[in-house]
Amino acid sequence: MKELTIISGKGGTGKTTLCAAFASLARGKVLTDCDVDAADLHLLLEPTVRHREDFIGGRSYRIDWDLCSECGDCKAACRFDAIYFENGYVIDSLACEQCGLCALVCPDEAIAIKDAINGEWFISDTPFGKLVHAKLGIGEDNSGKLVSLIRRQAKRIAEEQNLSLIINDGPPGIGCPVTAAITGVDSVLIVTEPTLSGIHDLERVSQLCKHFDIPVLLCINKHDINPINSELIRAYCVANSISLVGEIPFEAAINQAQVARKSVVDFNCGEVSGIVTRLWADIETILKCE
Amino acid sequence: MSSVWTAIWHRCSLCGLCSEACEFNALAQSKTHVLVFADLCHGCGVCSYVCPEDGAITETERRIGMVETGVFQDMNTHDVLFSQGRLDVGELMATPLIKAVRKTSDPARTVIIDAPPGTSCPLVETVRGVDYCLLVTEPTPFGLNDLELAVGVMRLLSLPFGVIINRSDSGDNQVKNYCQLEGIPVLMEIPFRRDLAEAYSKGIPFVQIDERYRTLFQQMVVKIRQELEL
Repeated sequence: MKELTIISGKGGTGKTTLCAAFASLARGKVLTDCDVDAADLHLLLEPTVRHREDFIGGRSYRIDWDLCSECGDCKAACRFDAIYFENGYVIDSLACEQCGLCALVCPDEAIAIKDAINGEWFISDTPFGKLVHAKLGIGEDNSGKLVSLIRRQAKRIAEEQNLSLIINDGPPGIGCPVTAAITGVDSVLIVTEPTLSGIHDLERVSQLCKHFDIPVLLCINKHDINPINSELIRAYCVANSISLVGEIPFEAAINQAQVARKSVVDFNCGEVSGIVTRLWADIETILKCE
Repeated sequence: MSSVWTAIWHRCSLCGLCSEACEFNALAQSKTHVLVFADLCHGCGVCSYVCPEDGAITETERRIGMVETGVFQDMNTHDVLFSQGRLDVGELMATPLIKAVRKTSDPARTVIIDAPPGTSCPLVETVRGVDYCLLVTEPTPFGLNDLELAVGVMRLLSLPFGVIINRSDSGDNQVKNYCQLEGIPVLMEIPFRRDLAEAYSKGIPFVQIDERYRTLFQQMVVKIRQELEL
């Protein structure tokens, strides 16, 4: 089984657009959306949810005022300034890191601990195969854990159905959910654009992949917006042994495809449709050879 | 820049209480050692609280990234203070660094913060306690979906906010309809222009390419200040 994760560092470079196109082109695969705090892939894949489950990522803590003697030990102990006084001691769930120190220090046993439901995850049918996706609760922690859970579920489905490929739509950035989305995959596809911020973030995510020793493929989106920067990216690929697998020109119809909720290979996007089709054929060949 | 973690020394009796209490799996016990996974440590102090041995756990500072500060001159040659945080590659937790960056700002000045994407802890840490948020979106299904999530964060934190629609002519009307329905002010619409996109790719702010946008941004700031009575 092969697993590919698509990331970008910078948001808005076209990760999900490409992922949806690959969903349409690839045969025999499971798809995931690992961008758990702002999942978008489902908007293009028309999923029918078949299984839905709460995501319990940690614990929640609440101070019971009937038991609290207002000693203030919890507030003094908390390293995250998550406890404040307003008519009584209150835990700010958005600031709380769910470490549990407050409950340990409380002499009154006034802090109730519950499993925290940090979000929801789904297994859905789409016209392109199974999709495992999730919705992290607003402002919730534990996005890395949720990403790992989604990838485990996708692997299980792929094994059960004897499918040979998992494609993960990754989150932006280089932090905890990104690390959870790339560790142990066979290949990472970085989608970048020839802007200063695109290049900056490309360097950061490719360093992250190097840190975890993951082979990197690269695609430049909107390459004709700045030919000089595109040349810099090509040179960066050569210097860092990154395979440049595709270059996509700017095309206004890509947004029209999104509005029509179609991938760029299922909508007339001019030459882009053909370029993306060839891009996937090349990636598939590389994945098989690895 | 550094965060706090806890180290285990030879006074440890291998009782196992610390690794059991740690909610972040940052401690694991072997037959001879307690292993510390520093990048998972949130620096909460639970391990040192539950440890029955005197001095078996000590805290040290640990680097997770860098805060950089500097000054540049704006178009009117006024000094603008700038700070940014750079998380070290491979580090997992951005929030302590975001906190450190926000601490560098001078509360007497107007502070403009470029927030991370998403709706989870890094975003919450960035917007908590600010006076106003600008949500930048685009008129596409992705734009609308993520805007709705961002609005959810704003309402949860009771923050006043308005919307800017970028590439406003490139999609459909759903974002506008949504804003109207929800009573959310659309403060500016920026149509797609290739020259603006090209300028951005070179790192040139588009207010330097088109003077009209300078005025539009200034008017927007005045409008927000009036709304906030600042």
